[in-house]
Amino acid sequence: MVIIEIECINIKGTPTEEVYICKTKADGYTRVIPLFKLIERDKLIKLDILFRDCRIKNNWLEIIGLDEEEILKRYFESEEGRAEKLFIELINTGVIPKPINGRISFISRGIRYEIDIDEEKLFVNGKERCFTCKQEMPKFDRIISLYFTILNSPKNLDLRE
Amino acid sequence: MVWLKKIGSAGHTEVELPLELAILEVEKHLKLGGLAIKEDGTKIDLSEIKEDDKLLLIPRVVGGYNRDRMY
Repeated sequence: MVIIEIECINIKGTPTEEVYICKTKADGYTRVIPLFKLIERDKLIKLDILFRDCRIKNNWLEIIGLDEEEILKRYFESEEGRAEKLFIELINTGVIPKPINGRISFISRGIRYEIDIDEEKLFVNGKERCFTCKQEMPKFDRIISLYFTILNSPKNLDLRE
Repeated sequence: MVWLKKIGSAGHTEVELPLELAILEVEKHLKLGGLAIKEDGTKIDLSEIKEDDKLLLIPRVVGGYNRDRMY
């Protein structure tokens, strides 16, 4: 049985818009599911009412008429979920190291890299470094792209655009 | 045939292309600053692409930050 916890958050860039996400434990990191992108408007309104009345507890899934499996199914069919599926495949085939405590750690060319999956941060020899993708992409596509860039074209990370 | 999986803003696209077309497609991608990755995670150059290769095309990642988000 998968345990899914719901949260209402503000998303960066949309300061007045509160949205619903849910979190669940994946293998070595936390999976964040953008519930607000996956469920119908009437179900979001039900959640609004539950939050307003501070009644949101463990039965929120029952109230919106979905179960954990259905939420995961919808997630893995979405763009975000498909990116995570590829990420998992690359871990399972040993191409990307397995995350531990939310981080992928590896040494390349004598430099120690850590990618914090939950926070989407990069650490090089322990110091935080910035990175950016020009394209808007799902989080796991960015992490996959960052990982392969570090391995194969680390000089790109010295560029600032 | 060469299998290409491209990740990026348009979602994942998967195509199987004849070798010559695949090389052209990868060349376009590399010119935009992206990388072509083999199944073992290492990058591949245009001259190394051969029949039955499975390649992952990833977009350009650089240091720094953009207007909206700093990673």
